[in-house]
Amino acid sequence: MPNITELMDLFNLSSRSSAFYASERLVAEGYANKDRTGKLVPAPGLFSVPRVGRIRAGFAAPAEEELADTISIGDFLLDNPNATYLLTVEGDSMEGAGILPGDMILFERTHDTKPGDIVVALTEDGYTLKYLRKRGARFYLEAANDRYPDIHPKEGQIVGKVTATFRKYGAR
Amino acid sequence: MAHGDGFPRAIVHFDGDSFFASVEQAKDWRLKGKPVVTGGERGAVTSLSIEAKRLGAQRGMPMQEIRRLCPDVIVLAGDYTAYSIYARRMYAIARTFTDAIEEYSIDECFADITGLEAVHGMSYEGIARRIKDTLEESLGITFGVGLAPSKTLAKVASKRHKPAGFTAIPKDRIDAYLADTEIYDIWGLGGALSGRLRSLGVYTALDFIQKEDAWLREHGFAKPVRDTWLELRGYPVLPLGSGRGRLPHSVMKTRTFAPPTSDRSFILSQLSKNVEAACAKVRRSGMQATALSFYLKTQEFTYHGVQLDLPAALDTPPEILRAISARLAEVYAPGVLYRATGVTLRGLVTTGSVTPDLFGQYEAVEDKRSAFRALDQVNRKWGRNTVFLGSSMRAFTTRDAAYRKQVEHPFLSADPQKKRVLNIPYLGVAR
Repeated sequence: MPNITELMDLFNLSSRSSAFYASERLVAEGYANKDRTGKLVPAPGLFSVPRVGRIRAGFAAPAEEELADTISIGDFLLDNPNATYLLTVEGDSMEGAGILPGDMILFERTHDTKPGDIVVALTEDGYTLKYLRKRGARFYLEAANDRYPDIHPKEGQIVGKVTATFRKYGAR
Repeated sequence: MAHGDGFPRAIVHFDGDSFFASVEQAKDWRLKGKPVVTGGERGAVTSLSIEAKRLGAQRGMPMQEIRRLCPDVIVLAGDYTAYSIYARRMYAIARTFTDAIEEYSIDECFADITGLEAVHGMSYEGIARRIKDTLEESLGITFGVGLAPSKTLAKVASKRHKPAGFTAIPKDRIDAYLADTEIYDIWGLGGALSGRLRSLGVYTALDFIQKEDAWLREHGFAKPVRDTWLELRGYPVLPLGSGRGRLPHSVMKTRTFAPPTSDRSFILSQLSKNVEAACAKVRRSGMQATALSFYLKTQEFTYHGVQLDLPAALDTPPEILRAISARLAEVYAPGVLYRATGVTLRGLVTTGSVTPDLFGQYEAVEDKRSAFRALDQVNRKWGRNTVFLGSSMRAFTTRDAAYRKQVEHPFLSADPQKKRVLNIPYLGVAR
């Protein structure tokens, strides 16, 4: 368990007395006890965080909390909905990554991309979807298909990264 | 965080640069770097891209003039669904930094970040710049941003450097910034007011704030002008109208059509469409109108309007249209070419507060209202304008319908009739 100085760090507190107050709250809520020296030690409450609707074998009745609290598939796919956009895939350059012609991709506009991400770059010929790779200090774009050459993007051409793909079967 | 001193309140104003044209360029990469104007469906420019502005095109110019200045200009019909999706994203992003946001208009919002330095671990300027960066990164559009102790000053600041500018006006720098700000550029002092101030020797905003309170009183400038004067002096008096739940005082719907026409039944049909749209909005806010005004705008841009009181508080179009057509003769002259109509529903009251009248009209009105409630439900389920009044028919089958077809499925349509679209902008194909 953390000591007072560590509590100050954890809760971003600037005074020892606030951290002391926080430790008293942990005791009052039943998550911790104090030993003879005043050190925090775990109390039973720490290990009994309620789990709701855990499914065992067979059927389980989900707890009401779960029934009431659902998210849409959109919310699940979109971590940052305000920066997310849709594209459709044309061509087979990302075949090896399981992204096929006609697939839909969701991408997030961001500068925060790193090697290994599937990024979206805007070139003179439109959007392209490729792995971001790094060799030495240089970044380049690599297709997931040997028939496509590497691309060396210019400054500012990488606009974001792919966050999800999906494919809709059957009639539209 | 020594900056705090210059900002007794820290108000930030965000203003999307060339908003409609920028959204078009963000939606379609082929438009980037090209002169683009929106408003093609009305024959009047609603927004110009930076590239079009650089070639000398301006708002208010007729389309032929713009085509002469920029022969390669791309004229687009406004895609208001897209603009409102981008606007909602702008508000939502700003809201992740502070809950005090005023959704001022489709391309502008205010944020109050007073006291949030410790929360974000940054100075006010740092927070404002961070919001600006997040907006630009997430939306692919640039913003003019101003930080100041009041809303009016924040608007001065956001206009300062265009495009993509950032300006902070701390309290001790106000004079320097206002010295070269023309009085008619001040929010709230446009038109006749700035004319009057200029005739009194007030040319810049600095001239204005150097006047004393007594001077304002002496020349009969009352509260709204004095509020602006206080705001410019760095005293925040205009509250942030945060919250989306504010009830409107009036609802206006207008439509410009091209080409201009003198066809009376066509003009009535446009008014009918205005009334339908305004009533739908009034019903959505749970209100009713007790008065209205409507106008016709001629090809020469002169306005002819009528104001009238309604016999009862109403939120359904038929009686309202009857009242309008009864008085249309006062503004409509045969042979004159008109280019726009507009209807404003005023004197809005909340639906519950209306007393049923004594003469038995209540039931008839209630009948009609339940019919329109059903219509609202149909349009909510199947998309806007699935069902509309026969009197609006002609307004729905004009040139701008043809214009709209040019817009290449900018979003994916998603309901059985393909009338509604996904709320995620669709940017085309990727290879």
